[in-house]
Amino acid sequence: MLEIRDIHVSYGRVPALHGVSLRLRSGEVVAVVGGNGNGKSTTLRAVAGLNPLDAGSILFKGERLDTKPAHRRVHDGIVLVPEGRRLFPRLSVEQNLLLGAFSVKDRHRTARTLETVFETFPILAERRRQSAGTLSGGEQQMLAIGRGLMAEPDLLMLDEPTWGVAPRLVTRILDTVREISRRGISILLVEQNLQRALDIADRGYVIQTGKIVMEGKSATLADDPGIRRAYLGL
Amino acid sequence: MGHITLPLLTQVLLSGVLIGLIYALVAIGLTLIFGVMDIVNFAHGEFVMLGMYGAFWGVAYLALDPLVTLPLTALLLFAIGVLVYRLVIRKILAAPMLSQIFATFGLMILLRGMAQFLWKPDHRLVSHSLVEGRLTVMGLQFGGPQLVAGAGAVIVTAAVWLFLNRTRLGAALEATAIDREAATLMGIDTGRMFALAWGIGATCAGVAGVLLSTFFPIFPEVGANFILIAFVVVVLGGFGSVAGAFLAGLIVGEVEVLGGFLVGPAYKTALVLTLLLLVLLIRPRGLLGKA
Repeated sequence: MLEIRDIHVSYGRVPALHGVSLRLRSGEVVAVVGGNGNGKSTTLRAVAGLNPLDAGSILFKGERLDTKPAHRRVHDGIVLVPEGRRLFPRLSVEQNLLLGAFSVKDRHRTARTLETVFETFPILAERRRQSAGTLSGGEQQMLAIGRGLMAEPDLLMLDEPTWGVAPRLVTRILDTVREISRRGISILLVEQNLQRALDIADRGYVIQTGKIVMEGKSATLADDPGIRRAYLGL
Repeated sequence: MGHITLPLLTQVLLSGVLIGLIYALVAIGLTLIFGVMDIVNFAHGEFVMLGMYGAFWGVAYLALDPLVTLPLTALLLFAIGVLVYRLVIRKILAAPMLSQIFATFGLMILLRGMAQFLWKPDHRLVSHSLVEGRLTVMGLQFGGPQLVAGAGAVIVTAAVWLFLNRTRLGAALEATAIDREAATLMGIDTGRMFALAWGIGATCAGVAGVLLSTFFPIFPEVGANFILIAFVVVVLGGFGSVAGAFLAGLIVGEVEVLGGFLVGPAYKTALVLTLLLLVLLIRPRGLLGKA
């Protein structure tokens, strides 16, 4: 479904990615793991179209993606739930969700999706009139994921969905991510916490200083002694 | 000062409201553009001027009343706003603030110069219009043009407010104003939103110009009368706040007319600028501005 081929991305003159390649099949949950500043977020941002490529290409459903402007990619079915959530804080929960459905022209479908999102995250239904900025960290993350689902994506990219979330809600959010993938939505997940990421992912990629250094099934990666030493402190 | 009667005071207050509504409409366009993209449009008064000339040439060449040609002039101003965005503003989006200021300042000079070159520096008047004459209600006298202008400003302001608060595109504009990148991630073409903001902003100013044309002289520098007041209104209302601009427009109209009446017409601009200084000293974010 998604194929990233040897992409290079830089911020000004500072290179961030040099030659990242990655594949994601339809229905898969794929995790990109690695320490801070190694290019995880940049990889997702490049797929979303927020960072231009210096070289390489990205294919989505067999078509060139990297030549399209960022907003078109949402219409094509790729949605990024960005790092730090980037909600519209002064707008209500419901307004945030409806903006998520901007790419969907059919109002009835949007109304149905909204109900589904409220079923997935009942707390959002309770707080629908509240402004997004007043929610707790966990609730904001649920809203960010819910807003992403409103676009009815085929591929949902989640950048650190457990960041700033109370520990008791972390499992709940990751369970929901797994549940979303069972609805047929493919997921590309970025997490600093390797263990959590590999728990819910089918496969994983380890990224280090802008390069993929290892890839494999989640179980294989989780058992790899090198990775355990580097990322789990074991 | 000895003969201020209640009817007279009411009359003055209402005149303040009527001109305040026009000020509000001009300022709403300015604050919308600023709110969506953080760019101050120094050429905003020139959009008012273009609206006035639109009305004038409608009368001169087509023998059509400004109110009749208003939809056409509004459409034309929308197109001009979009064009200005595409040709000038888009190029300086990422430029330093000083470059942006000079770009719109330069645009102001260009539009004024063009108006002088094409239409001469003479003062022109729309001498006959549908809304001539006076109306007397309960002993209070209203100028027909002012009354229609006030009503027109209310209608357009309400339409803009409804568009911003009740439509999908309005929500998309708001989202773009809050966080451009996040708006992009919603599938919103933010470049299109910027163009839309310029289109609507220019339309507000242009419509105000058409409404003014029936009782205000028309000349190339006429925009200067309104840009300064529009800045005061935008600052008082809070940068980027449409509701604030509406409220502040009415206040500035009152300060000018009522203040001018009480203190003397020669001081009215001084009073408005004193208000600006007070706002900047006491509440720099304005009445309804976001902290």
